[in-house]
Amino acid sequence: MNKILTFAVVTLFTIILAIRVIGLEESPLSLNFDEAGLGYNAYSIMLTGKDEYGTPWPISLRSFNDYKPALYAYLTTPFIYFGGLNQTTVRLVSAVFGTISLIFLLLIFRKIAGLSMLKSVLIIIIISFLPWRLHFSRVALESNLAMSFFTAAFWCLMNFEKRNIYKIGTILFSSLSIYAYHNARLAIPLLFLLVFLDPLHTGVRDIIKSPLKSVKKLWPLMIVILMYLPIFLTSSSNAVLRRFDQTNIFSHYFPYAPQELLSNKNYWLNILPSPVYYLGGWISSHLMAYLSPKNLTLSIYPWVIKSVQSISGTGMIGWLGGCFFLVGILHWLKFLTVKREHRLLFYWILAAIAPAVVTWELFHPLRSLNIYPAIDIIIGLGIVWFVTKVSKLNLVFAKYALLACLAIIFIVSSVYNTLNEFNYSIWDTNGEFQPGGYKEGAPLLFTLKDKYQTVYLDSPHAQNYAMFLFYMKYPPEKIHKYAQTRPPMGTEGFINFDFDNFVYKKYDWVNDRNKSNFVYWTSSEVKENEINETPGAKLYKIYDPFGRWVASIITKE
Amino acid sequence: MSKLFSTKNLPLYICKISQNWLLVVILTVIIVQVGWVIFLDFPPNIEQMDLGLNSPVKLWLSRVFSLMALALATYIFSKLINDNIRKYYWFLIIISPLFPILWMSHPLESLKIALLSLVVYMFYRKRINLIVSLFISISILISINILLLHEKPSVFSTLSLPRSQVEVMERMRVEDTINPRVPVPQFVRRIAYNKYFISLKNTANQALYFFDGELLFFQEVSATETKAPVFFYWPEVFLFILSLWIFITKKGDILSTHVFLLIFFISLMGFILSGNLTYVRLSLMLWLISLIMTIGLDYFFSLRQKWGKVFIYLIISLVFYGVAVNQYDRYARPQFWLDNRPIVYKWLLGSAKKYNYQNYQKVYLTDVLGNAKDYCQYFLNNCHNFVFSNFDLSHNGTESSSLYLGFSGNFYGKVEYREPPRHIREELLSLGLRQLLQYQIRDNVANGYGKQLIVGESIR
Repeated sequence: MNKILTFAVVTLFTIILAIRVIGLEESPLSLNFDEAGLGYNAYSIMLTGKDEYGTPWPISLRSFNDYKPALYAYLTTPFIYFGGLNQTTVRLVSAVFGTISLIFLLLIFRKIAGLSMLKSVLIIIIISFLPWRLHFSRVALESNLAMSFFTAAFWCLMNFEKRNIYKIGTILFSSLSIYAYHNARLAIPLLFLLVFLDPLHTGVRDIIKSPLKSVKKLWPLMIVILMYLPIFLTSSSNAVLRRFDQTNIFSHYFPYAPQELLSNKNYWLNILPSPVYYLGGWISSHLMAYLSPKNLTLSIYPWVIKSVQSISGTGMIGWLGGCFFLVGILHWLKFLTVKREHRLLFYWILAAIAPAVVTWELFHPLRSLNIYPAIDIIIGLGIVWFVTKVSKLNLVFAKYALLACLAIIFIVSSVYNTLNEFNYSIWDTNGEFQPGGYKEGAPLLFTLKDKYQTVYLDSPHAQNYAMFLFYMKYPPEKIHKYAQTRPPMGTEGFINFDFDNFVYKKYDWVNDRNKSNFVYWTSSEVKENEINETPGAKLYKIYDPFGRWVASIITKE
Repeated sequence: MSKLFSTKNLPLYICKISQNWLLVVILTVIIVQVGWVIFLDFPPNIEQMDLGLNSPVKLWLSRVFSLMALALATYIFSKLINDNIRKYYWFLIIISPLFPILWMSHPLESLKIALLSLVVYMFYRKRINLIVSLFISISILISINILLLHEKPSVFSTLSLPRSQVEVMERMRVEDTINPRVPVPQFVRRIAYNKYFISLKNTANQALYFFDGELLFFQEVSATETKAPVFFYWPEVFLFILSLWIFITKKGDILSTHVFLLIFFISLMGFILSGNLTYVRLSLMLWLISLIMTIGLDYFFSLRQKWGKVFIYLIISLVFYGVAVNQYDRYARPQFWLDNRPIVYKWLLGSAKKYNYQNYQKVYLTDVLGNAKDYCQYFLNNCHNFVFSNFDLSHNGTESSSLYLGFSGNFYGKVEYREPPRHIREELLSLGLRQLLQYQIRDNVANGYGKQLIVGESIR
């Protein structure tokens, strides 16, 4: 690659990184609970070497009893060390690795599409502005980190036989992906099985005929399984399985067939309808949901909207990505059995979907995030096909007019997606997962806490303690003391706990007005005149970036 | 005669039947489908009422006409493929539960599909120009959808530049209220926030609803419980994907790519230019996807490899099972699959007949769903003492010697998320009514009026 091209590529990727980093403190406007939990644990590890529960150098963070993989937190510590604990430093890992994943995507795409480096870079630049690429690189999500390592692992897998460095890279990036997020723990072994056995090429019968030969091919999988061991040797493995119990497709849709039609109390004995037939349908529908153009391009499911995985007004790949996805998938199918790289892409999709298919939500972007780089490649193939067809037109004017229109649409769409992510989505998606008030009010609360005997906390949001700890930058060593008294493992819902002079209590001004020497944190649904009429009471109103009164701090001398 | 039915000829009959087993299956399914429609005796829907089909004779005539139109469309589309595989195509069309629902309840859609099939045939056989074909198709779609059915396709609002301009201004206004926000130069905002791009984006989004895999293949297990009939049984999705691969790689050169693209674009335009229910807008896909799957069936049946045979017989077995299950389901739960609004009128007016409505001075029939007078005409013929109004007895009192037929909201007042009161009889007594009958429908078809249907007579 010549120097000019190298310089251009570096510059472009710097711009891509800059777009993911700019305004992280303002947009998204607040952390969500998982981000706060990750960030505070990273802070605790950086200062003390322990997580918020006092566990030294954990592999998984107990956090909200959900045992988040800890790798994201570890990678965040250098940013917190140099930049302090804030929204930007917590999200930087996602931004950086989201950008790095594009480098590996470029290499993979170039190999699959067989294009020059310049053309491949242009396609990847377009892809880097897809809605999901921007959104998931601007929130602190372990799945985005896992996706980056997954992409790198796939690149190494494609070149596995070439050099030892790729073999090492395969094991390394696969292991890192497993330690980054839960979904990789199923996806990576499945990917290895499919890639090394290559059933579409070798044939299932040949694999079964020579089992020893097949097993020998799987030696990298054995090494990766060894890398798994620490996860299972820690107590968190039970919690992971418990999470699967709560979310799996098998228990959620049981008895699978419509209940009104089942006559036998033992459901499995029903012949018409048979639960087995319907179970096949549920699994197939979940499998296909991740390749459905409607699901990929439009945001339609209630469990996605108003959650951290929601992208305002659009689906994961947006309308433009959706159009080229439709074209690309036909092109990809055409070469599926002919070209090895297209076959590997198929294995990638199958392996990456698997963790999401076994959970009950029909379409869950976070759990299936590993599939999206593969979808990006299909989109890229669609763009290449379209441009190639247009370039072959005989009418010169029509050819250049179409190409110019396409370029304009790409540019405008990229700007639109960026603006959507920077500012509009703040307004559209704030509320439940981006609760207002903590960022603005928690530092004030921290300054007041030593002046009063008790700080009462009353907030409707679950796990809000994480927000308070984060935004107050509360000393972690003081929180470690409460590890034994916190809600035990298996507790669902609210797991807030009293610490220091912070006490969780329902707001009750009628009775509490007679007490003294306290601070109250509560919502904006307070009667201002009642507080102002109480001697010694003072109301601080906390406003969000829209100028709305979202929380209240009340002091009583 | 005795020779014809001689047992000596029995093996010959069995041989002929086994050779044409698919035809036997097709005929059996058609008979069962027709039997289901007759057994159901489903009333006309709102679309059919608006067409003036307000008597059983007219309704059944239109159904026969619709069935013939769809059969004609299937016959014409089958001409696009080889003679020896047409039976597969007919099989895939006839077993679809969408097929009887179309001819039972959507006469204009059936007519539309027949006309569009003629256009495709003209393109294929008479080699008329592609642009001309598309133009004729769009004209047919606009004529039927907008002029006859008075539909309002949402694409017209997304194409509207003034509406897009409103969205642009709203976005800019909302972003300007955020403080602090990510600063972006105004000229950069203008690049993306302009009415042309917003209009293009919204129109494309509308078109992308066309690619609804869940509606097409997974209505048996709909996670979102979308109200629509089954298009294809879920095992057919695997047949479709493989058939698509076969079609693209030209392993079976059966269907012309140009014809496929024409039908595809007509289906897409039909979806975009319609304001009807989603499944009606997608109905032409039944014929297009079945064409693709026919290619797959032919390919797999002619494969020598064992895996191909195993695969296809597994899929066919599962599909047969799906047909049986769905048939049973449609008999057992018609309200789940069909529009509940005609069922409301069927029950209410059937109840009126049961309680000799002529003996009352006035019969109040709720008109919250519309077309109450037409339905009365359809079921009872003589409605001289009927009052068609969206009555509300919580505000207006009851009249003597009157019969009331309506939703619970008509009796207790309209409230959102209404639950029926626990002691209906006592509640009605307090209104001066005696409850005669009550019935719960499955769907919430009258927002705020509940799912409970009540028949009550005034006590005085």
